[in-house]
Amino acid sequence: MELKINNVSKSYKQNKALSGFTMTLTPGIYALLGPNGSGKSTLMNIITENLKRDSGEITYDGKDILKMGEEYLGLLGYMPQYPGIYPQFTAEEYLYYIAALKGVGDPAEQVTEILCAVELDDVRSMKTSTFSGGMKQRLALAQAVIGDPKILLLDEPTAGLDPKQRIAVRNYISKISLDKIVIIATHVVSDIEYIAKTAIFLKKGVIADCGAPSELAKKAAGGVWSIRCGADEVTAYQNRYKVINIQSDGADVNLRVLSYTKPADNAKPEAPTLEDEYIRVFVN
Amino acid sequence: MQDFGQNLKFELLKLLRNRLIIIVSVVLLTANMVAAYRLCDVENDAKTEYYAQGVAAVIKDAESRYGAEEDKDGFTARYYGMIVDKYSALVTDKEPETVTGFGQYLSYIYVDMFLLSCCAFCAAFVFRREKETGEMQTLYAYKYGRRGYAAVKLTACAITTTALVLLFCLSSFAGVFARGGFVDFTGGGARLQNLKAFIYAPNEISVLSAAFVSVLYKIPVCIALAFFAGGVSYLFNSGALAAAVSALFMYGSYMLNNKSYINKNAFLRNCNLFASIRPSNIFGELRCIDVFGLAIPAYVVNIVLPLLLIVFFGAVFFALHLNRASVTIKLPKLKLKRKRKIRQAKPHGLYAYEFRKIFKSKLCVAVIALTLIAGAIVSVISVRAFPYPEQVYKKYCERWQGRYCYEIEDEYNTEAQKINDGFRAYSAIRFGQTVDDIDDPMQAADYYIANFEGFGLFREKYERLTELHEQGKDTPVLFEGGYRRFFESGADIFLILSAVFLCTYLSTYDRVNNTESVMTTTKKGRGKLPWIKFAALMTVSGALYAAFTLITFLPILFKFGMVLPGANIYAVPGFEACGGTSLGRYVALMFILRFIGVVLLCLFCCGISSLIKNHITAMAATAWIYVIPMFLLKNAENKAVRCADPALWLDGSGFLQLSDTPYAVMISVALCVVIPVLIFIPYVYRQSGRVIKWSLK
Repeated sequence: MELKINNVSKSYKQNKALSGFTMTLTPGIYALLGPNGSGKSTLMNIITENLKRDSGEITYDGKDILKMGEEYLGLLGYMPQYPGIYPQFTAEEYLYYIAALKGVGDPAEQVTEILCAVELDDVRSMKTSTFSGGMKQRLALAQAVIGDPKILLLDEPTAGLDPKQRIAVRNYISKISLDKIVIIATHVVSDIEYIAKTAIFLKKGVIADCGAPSELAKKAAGGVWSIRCGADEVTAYQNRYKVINIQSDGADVNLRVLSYTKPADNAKPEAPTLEDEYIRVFVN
Repeated sequence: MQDFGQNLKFELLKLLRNRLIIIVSVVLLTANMVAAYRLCDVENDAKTEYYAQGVAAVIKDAESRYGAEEDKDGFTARYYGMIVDKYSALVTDKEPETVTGFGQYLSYIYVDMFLLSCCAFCAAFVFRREKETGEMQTLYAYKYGRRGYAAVKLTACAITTTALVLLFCLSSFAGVFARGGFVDFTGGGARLQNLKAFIYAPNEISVLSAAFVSVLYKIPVCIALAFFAGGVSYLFNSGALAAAVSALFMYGSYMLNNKSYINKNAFLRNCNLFASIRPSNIFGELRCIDVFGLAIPAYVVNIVLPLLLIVFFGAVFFALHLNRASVTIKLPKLKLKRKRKIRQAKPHGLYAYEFRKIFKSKLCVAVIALTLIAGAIVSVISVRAFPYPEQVYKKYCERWQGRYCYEIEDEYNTEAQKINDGFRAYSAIRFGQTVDDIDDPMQAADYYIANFEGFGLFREKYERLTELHEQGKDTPVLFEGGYRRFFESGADIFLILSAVFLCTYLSTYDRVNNTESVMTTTKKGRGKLPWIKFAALMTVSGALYAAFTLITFLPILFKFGMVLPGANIYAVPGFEACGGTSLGRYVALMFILRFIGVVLLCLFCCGISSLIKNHITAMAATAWIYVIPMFLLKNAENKAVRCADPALWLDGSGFLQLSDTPYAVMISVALCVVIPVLIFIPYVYRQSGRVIKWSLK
C-alpha cells in the first residue's frame, strides 16, 4: 500500500498554497505540522479530490487516483477541520447514513464498535443537536473511521477535546493505524509526538523539515536552555532569544530559551522536544 | 449626543451588513414591484357623469338625518353639519380630468402586506439580535448599555422602517410606472375625486398629493407595528412564538378593519392600525368618531392613533429593557402515560436518509404544513367569496343550463326587457318623475336593483355564446364559476414557494451543514447521491402537489360542482384560445401540466442550488431567475419571445392557450432540452468533486 504524492502544487490567485509537494506515504501515521495558512488543509483537500491541483500527480499503488474514481473514494476516510453533523439525526443514524454513503454492507456491528471506541455508546440514540463540541468532534472522527478506510485523513482531530478524551482519541488512532495511511493535520505538537511515524513541517506550502518526531526533536539538541531569573529580566531575554516558556515562581521566573550559545551563566541545558524544534523552524 | 450618533451608526451598520436582511428586503421589494406591475390595470379613471348628483345626494342625506336622529351629546349635529359644509364647498361641475396610473397606485393594497412583513422582520432583527448572540450581558455592563441602548434601538428601528416605507412605495410606483401608468404626468394635478374609488372624498386634493400623503400616513403605522413586533420578539425567548404573536396582531387589526367595513362601525373602522394605512380609508368619504360629543374626522384619528401607539410600544420596550424582562412562555408538555421507548436505529438506504433530512427538519415540516393550510384557506376564501351579482348570474345560468343561445333567445329578450323597465322605473323614482307604462314601478325598480348586475354578467356570456354560434362553435349555457375559480385561484403560488424552499433546502443542506466535503469523499457521495436527492425531491414534491391539488380542488368541487364537463372550453371567458377542448379534459390536462411545471421548478432550483453556497441565496437566485423574465416578457407581443418565460412553462393554462400554435411545440422542445441540462448540472459538479462556493459578499 503506497500513496505517492509527486510534485503537487496549488495556488489561490497569486498566493501559493502548496508548492511542489513530494512524498511517498506507506502505512503509519503522518503528522502535518505548520502554522495557519501553511497548506495543510489544502494538501488534505487535494488528496481527497475535493480540490483540483494545479500540477503534479498522486498515485495509489501506481494508479492515478483521478482515474481510479469510486475505487479510490472507497479507500478514503476524511474528517474535515470544521466537521458538520446533521442536527436532526441521532449519532447512530448519522453513522448509518455515512456507512450507506461509503457502501458498507452490514454496518451495525462496526457502528457499535466505533461508538464504543469514541465513548459515545451511551448517547447513540440522542440527536446530535444536543451534543457538546467535544462529542461532535468524536462523532466526526467516528464517521471518518467507519468502513475501515485504507487512507485516513484527519484535520485537527483533537480540537476541543478535554485531556482525557484527547489521550483516548490519540490511542484509538494509533491502534487503528497499523494497516492504514493516516494523515493528521494539527497545531498541537504533543498530540502526535508519540504516535506519528513521520512529522512533516509545512511552511508556506513547502516541506520545511520532515522525519521521525524523535529525530526531528534531536535537531534542537544543544539549543534548549532553562534559566532562572528575576521578573524584571524577562523582557531583556525575550529581546535577545526565542523564549519558549515563561513560568512565574514567586519573585523569580523560570524561562525555557532556545539558543545555540549559552544565554546566561546560570542557564542549564534541557532535553529537546518536538515542540522546541517546531519553534526553531517556524518562529524565525 | 455624539455617543448616541455613533451607536446609532453601528446599529444601522449591523442591519445593512446582514445578508439575510438585505436578501429578504430585496426579494419582498421585487415581489411588491412585480405584484404592482401584474395587478395594475391602467385605465383612465374619469369622473363619472353622476358625480354632481352623488355629492348632492350625500348632502341631502345628511340634511335629512340632521334633525331626524337622536342627538344626546351634539355629535350628530356636528357630524352632519360638517358633512354639509365640506361637501357644499366642493366644485361639482368641473370637466373630468385624465388621471393615469395614480388611481392604480392608490388602490394597490398588496404593498401593505409586503411592507408590514418586511418591517416586522427587520424590527425583530434589530431588537432580538443581542439576545440571540448572547451579547446582552456584555451590553448591560457598559455605560450606554441600558437607557442609551434602548433609545438607539428604537431610533434605528424607526429609521429603518421609514426607509422601508419609502422604498416599498417607490417599488409600487415603479411597478405601476413599468406598466405604462405614468405616461401622462400632467394627471398628477387632477382632483382626487376624478378617481372612482375616491368620488366621495371630502377634501379638494390632487392625486399626486394624495399619493404623497398616503406614504406619510404609512410611516407611523409601520413604526408602531415594528415597535410592537420588535418588542414582542424581545419579550419572548422563542422567536417562533414572537413571530406568531406579531402576525396575530397584524391579522387582528386587518380583520377588525375588514369586518367594520362590512358593519360600517365608524369607531372600529378607524381605530385600528390597518385603517391608517389604506388610502381609501383616509381620503374616502367623510367619517367622524364620536369623542365625548366632538366629531373628530377619521383622517385625524388615523394619524393620531399610530403616534400614540408608537409612544406606548416604545415605552413598553424601554421598561422591559431596563428591567431585563424576558418572559419565557413554555408550552405545557403532555404527560403521556407510556414513556416512549428509545428505538435503536437500523441501517437504511440513502433514499430513506434524504427523506429523513426533510421530514426531521421542523422548518421543512412547518413549511409543508403551512403550504397545505394556506392552500385550504385560499380555496375556502375563493369559495366563500360569492358576491351577490354572481349568485344572480348563477341563477340565470342554471335557468338555461345545457341549452344553446339560439334556443333561449326569446326568454332572454323578455328578461332583458324586464330589467330595462326596472331601470326606467328606478331612474324615475330617483329623480321624482313618474312612469305610466309600468304597473308597479316600485316593484320593477326593486327587481332592477336586485338583478341588473347579475344580468349584466349573463349578458356578456350570452353575447359571447351568440358570437361563437356565428363562428360555428356552439356551446351550451353553463355556470362556470367552479371551473373559473379552479383555473384562477392563484393558490399555486404557495405550492411554488414551498417547492422552491424544499428543493433549495435539500440541495444546499450538505453545504450549509459543512458536510459536503465528507460526502464527496465517500464512494456514493459523488455519483449516486445527486440522483437519490432528485428522487427524494420528486417524491416529496409530487406528494405535496397531489395533496395540495386535492385540498384546493375539493372545496370548489363540493361547492360548485364541475357541471357539464363535456362542454367546450369556449364556455369559460378568458380560455377561448385553449384549443376548444372539453372542460373535463382541460382540467385533467391542467393537473398534468402543472405537475410538469412543479417538476421543472424543482430541477431548476436544484440546478441553481448546486452552484450556490447557502439556501437563502439559492432561493433568492431562483426567485430572481423566475421573476425577471416573467416581469419582462409578460406583455411581449411576440409569442415566440413570450415562450422564454419560465412562468409560462409552469402555468398549465398559459401553455394550453398556445396549444394549437407552433409555440407549444417550441416550449415542449425547450423543455426537452432544459430538463436534462438542469438534471446534469448538479451531477456534473458533484462528479468533478468541485464544490463551488458562491456567496453574496
